[in-house]
Amino acid sequence: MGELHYTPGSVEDFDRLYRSSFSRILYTIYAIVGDHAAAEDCTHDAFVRAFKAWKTWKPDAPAEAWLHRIAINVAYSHIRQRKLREVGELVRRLGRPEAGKDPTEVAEDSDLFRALRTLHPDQAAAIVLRHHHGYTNREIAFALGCPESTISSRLAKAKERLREELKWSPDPAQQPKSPFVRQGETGVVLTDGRRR
Amino acid sequence: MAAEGEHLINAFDTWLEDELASGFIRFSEVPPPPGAPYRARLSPQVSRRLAAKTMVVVAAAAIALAGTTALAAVTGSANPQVWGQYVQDVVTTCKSQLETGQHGIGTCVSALARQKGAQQRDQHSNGQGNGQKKHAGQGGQPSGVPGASPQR
Repeated sequence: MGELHYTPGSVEDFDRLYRSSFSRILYTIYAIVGDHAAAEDCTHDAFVRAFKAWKTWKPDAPAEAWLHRIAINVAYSHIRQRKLREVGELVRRLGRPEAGKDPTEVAEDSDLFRALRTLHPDQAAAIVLRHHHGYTNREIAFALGCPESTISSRLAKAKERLREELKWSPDPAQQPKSPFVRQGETGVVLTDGRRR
Repeated sequence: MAAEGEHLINAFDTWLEDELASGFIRFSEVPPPPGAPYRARLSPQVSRRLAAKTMVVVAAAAIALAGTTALAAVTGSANPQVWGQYVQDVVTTCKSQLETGQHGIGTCVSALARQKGAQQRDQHSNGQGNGQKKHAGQGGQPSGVPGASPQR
């Protein structure tokens, strides 16, 4: 992770941090919570909280990992509240048919993101932090608030679960579906196999 | 047997990083909401939540739109096949810059996507109306190397 120089409490520096890390934080949170609107909501909340606490940030921890820690905590709260709401919904809906999922959400989804959502939020976050943002074990440990010595085993377990969930095979023909167009295909392939 | 297991893990890591990088391209071209919303000093919690919800709805719509619009703008094409090729090119370029044992091409993908977007916008603003638009997807590898290579 490339680290820029920031001064705790400097509004200009926080603005810079916001601009440079917004999409990265948003992406990590999207991998955890699974929908754009909720990820945006959590990311916004995280920046509000981080801005309030900016004076307390210590430069010995990477600023973006510190932001990730706040954002991941916001995502946990969101997931807990969503689960409570879902239980309430389930009770209210007993006996009634379930409403269908928004087709746009389905089209944008991929097998990987669906599988990431079946992992513990810590595991999903660790995978994105390592395999997308390129964080070191130390940075991941800081973002998750756990000992650095546990990161390698956490990552290994997370990937093992992910492979099982995806029924992943090294054969490209049997690999999970991506919402992105592959070379040689015509049109966008939706997750249900249809094209548009 | 152990070597086979290691090969499987490496192949999975490669697949995982490709998928994450492809997914991120939709996010990387979306600018953060303007005006530093975290600075808004709307003390009543309700007002803040209302403002946040409005921003969320607008931003979610922007992301959904920007995902396709950004790819169309960057590649200069409305053809999803060209976008697919573009995504593949960006991922390949970034992966080739990773040193052995390094993980994560997010920084590189983000930088490259932004760079290509800026190039494309410059070309459009310079009035490139001679009908010779160069599409990233048709020209093979994306040109240029992002300033910031991924670091661990």
